[in-house]
Amino acid sequence: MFYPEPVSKLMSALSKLPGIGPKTAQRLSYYILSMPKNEVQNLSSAIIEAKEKMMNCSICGDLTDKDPCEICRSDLRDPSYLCIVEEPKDVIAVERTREYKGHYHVLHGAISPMDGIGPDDIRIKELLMRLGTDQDRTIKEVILATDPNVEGEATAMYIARLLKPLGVKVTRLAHGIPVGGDLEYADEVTLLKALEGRREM
Amino acid sequence: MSLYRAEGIVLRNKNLGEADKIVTVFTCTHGKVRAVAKGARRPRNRLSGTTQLFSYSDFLFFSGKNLDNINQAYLKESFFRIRDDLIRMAYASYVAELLDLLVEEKAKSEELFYLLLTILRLLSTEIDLRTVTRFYELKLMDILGYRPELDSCVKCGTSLQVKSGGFSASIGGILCNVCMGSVRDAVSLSLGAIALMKYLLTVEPAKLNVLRISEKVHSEIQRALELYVRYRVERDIKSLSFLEIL
Repeated sequence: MFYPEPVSKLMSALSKLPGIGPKTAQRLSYYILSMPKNEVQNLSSAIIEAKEKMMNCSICGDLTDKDPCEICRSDLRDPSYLCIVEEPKDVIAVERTREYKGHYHVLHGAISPMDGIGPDDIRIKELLMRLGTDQDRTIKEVILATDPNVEGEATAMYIARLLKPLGVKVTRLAHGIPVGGDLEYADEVTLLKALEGRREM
Repeated sequence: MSLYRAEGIVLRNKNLGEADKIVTVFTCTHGKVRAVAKGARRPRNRLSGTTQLFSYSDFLFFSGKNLDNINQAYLKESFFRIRDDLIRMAYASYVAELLDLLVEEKAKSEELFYLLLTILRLLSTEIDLRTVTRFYELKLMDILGYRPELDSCVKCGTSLQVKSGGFSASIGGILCNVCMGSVRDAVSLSLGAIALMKYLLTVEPAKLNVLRISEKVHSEIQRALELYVRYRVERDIKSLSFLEIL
């Protein structure tokens, strides 16, 4: 297929994005070409600006435009809770509950033996340092909110093992039946975990 | 383009796109299959539980141009006890990775399937996981046609008389004291360790838990088998480094 060079360059740049195949890249490229010039300018400067201004918070590791991030700086948050998540987007997920008022620690990954991702490849060292420098014991509880899959469980178990000797309370996010779901479609493991974690009413 | 049904065990998961995964399944009847599980990373998807690592499920595949798709899956054994324990999970990762590395796609072997199933059952209940893993390594090599020579020296053919000998991964068997000096990658192996390796190749898996093995013999056969497995795999075995950390 023949494309003028600038178009094929744009297409190959777009197709590097997740979920964008050659056909979508072509559609987006031609759409961008049909857009008014100032809108295209806005788009490209927004991309550059986001990339240049965003960084990882030096305390929790979350994405932020100011260091330390909004959550780490805030006086309204309760510093006695620390929630451990895998990715910055998990912070957003927990924030959406509007229930959790503590701090976060973002690991940027999970332990995966088969992919060669070990404890040293994610931000566990930073977590230990954070707890180590916490001399007056402000952090009372560490909540492990890694994904409920093999890698997330392994990461949670590994961190729990490291933190137990420090005397801090370590909890794990509960497993259960999804709200609005059907019991008959729940798999036996989820059902078993839900039974284990049942509550008196 | 057709549907086929096969029982299988999940060896590996790889994320694909927004919410899909590529699942490597070792099936009983169709060998190693790589298939897409659409939406399996969404919490309420019906495939999310059945395509977890080490799950033993009854799958309905739809063969595609490139990769197959998983249409339905029914969980038979979840092996959640393996996933709930860091050490068991690390050993099972090694077991699964080894099989994935050594077996080609679509290569079928009922014997390997039942070996894997047996090993996962042992890994979710047994206490001595090291013996189970050594048993697996030897059996796996045996089934794949790489059974190491354990009866007599691989160089001169004499049977071992004195207390100890050696093992060479590249030649694939034991060595007598005389020949050991001339082989570059030889490691020493006591007669007790050699006898144990021979025993492991014939023992019923249910009897593994009565074995009492000294620390010295354990570390000897662990080293010899690790070298041998690494030599056969010819690639980096990633889960081994995690086992070393633990």
